[in-house]
Amino acid sequence: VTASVTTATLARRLLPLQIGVGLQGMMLWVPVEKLFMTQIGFDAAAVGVMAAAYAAVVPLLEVPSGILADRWSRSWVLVLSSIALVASSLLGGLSHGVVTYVIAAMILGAYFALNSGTLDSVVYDTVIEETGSSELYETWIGRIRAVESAALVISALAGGLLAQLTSPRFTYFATVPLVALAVVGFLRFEEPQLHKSAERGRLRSHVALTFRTMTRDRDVLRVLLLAAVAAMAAQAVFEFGPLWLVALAAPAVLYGPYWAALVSTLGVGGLMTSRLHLERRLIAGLVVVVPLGAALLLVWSQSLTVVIAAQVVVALALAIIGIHSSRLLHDAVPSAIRAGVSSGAGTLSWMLFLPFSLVFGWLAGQQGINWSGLMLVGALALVGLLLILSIRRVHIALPGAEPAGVAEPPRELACRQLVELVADYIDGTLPVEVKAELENHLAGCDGCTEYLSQIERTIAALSRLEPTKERPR
Amino acid sequence: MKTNPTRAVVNTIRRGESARNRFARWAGWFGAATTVDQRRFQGTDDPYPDHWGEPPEDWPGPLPETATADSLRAALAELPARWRRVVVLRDVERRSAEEISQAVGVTPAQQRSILNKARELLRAALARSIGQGRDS
Repeated sequence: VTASVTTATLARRLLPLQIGVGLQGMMLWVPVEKLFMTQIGFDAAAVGVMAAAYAAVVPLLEVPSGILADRWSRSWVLVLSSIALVASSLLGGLSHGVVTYVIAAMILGAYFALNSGTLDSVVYDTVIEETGSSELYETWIGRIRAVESAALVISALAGGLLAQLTSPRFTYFATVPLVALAVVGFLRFEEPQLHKSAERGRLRSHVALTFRTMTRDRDVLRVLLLAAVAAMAAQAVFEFGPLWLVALAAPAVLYGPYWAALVSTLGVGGLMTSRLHLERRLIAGLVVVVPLGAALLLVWSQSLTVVIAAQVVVALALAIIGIHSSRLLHDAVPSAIRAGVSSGAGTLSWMLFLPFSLVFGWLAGQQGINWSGLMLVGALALVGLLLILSIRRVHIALPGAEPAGVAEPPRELACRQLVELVADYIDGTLPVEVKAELENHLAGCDGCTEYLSQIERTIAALSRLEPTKERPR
Repeated sequence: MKTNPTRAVVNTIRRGESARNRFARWAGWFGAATTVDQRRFQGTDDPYPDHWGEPPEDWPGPLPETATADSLRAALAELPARWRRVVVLRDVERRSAEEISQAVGVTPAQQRSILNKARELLRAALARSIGQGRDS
């Protein structure tokens, strides 16, 4: 009974956040963006410049926006991200030329930077505040991502339809009220009071350790490169894929289902990765060769159906490889710096994407979009090579065994774990053998003995407070 | 594009890894999950990983009573509402664990977890009140 009370309170508290996330995902103009850009005078080279412009903005703003969220307010950073999205949609919709639209795209980069990570940390702290542990975090972040994915697919279909019925330009204006409403959701959300203050002081040494790990170990470097190049190639498919449809004069209504299919590869890829055995050469070979074939079709084909199917196949394969590579990365680095290495891979992918999109756009402008498809083939070949090399490493290093890091080796009870058990120890709820191990540790550890005594003295001081003053509602 | 594949991938990993590794979600990046400031423990590169790097400084004799009560009240006011309820019911009003779980609407395990974290925040506040800088 009591557990369901917690779940209900948590659900009630997170509801406004979910509504905000859902509304923020309703970007109706996204599926028809390239169509609209072409109408206002973009050529392929200008699209490349636009992509490079926001790729430069995101990594530059990610760290400052994280600091802003920590020191100021995460709800307000989410509100700011909505405002950036509204501004970007409005300016995009009002654009009649390349320069204004590139500025709109850079404001969109600010939205990405403000949004990324903020949501995860706010959900995490809310779960901790309501339940005292992070157990339910995965469940809730999963639900919120599902809301976000559903919003992306629905807005893809709705945006395509709306563009067909009205005009691509109208989808930008139709997005504005939806995203503006998201602000109401974020403001109604009761923000957790806990702050991740512990992370600030540590940042410098953390970054140094993360950087050392990433650059010193060749295996880590290879997997990092795999993750970054796969993410870069995926980004390229999402950014430049619609240009094939523009080149083949696809009707606006087709952009909706096309974009919905492309977006859903992210979710489907996640489901498939857990079922595919990418450590087997045959499976890995297929995951490499099939998208390479599909990318070659992008170079040669003039058929809309073939082009769309090929892009979906490439996007799906890249999602699978991306998720797989992040798991390899996870297994290759110590737990304390995993998130840092993951975001390092993210930043690297933006840095690779910047020159890639400039060259891609330039080549598409000079030779046609089919020719720049060859760059995608090249990127996929590099991804394939790195993937195959990473399999060889796992096979040589751990014959027949699970990849390293999947199960942490059992460790002795250290101070870091002991402090988590103090309430259970005082209550006498620990299993006998854990209690014995804890007392054994205490006997030889001055730090933990002093810590326990200070907790006991705190409890004693609390019991001397008059109960009436702090009586809860 | 206008969706962020990198972020989607990273999030999927975060979702996947905790099922396989119970320490992963306490990986240090999410500071709030753990009870004591994780900087105070030695890292993987140090001689004794996971043991105190900065152990708590010894508290001198008895704590000054009025000042201690004031610091505790101030620190209690800073706690998240649910944490404050749990720790007040338990350590000020001396109610039983079962009663509190019922009243607050948490499982017994959640109750102990909240209690452990709340007590540490109050302990750190007391340490600060007697001028021990490490706990600031």
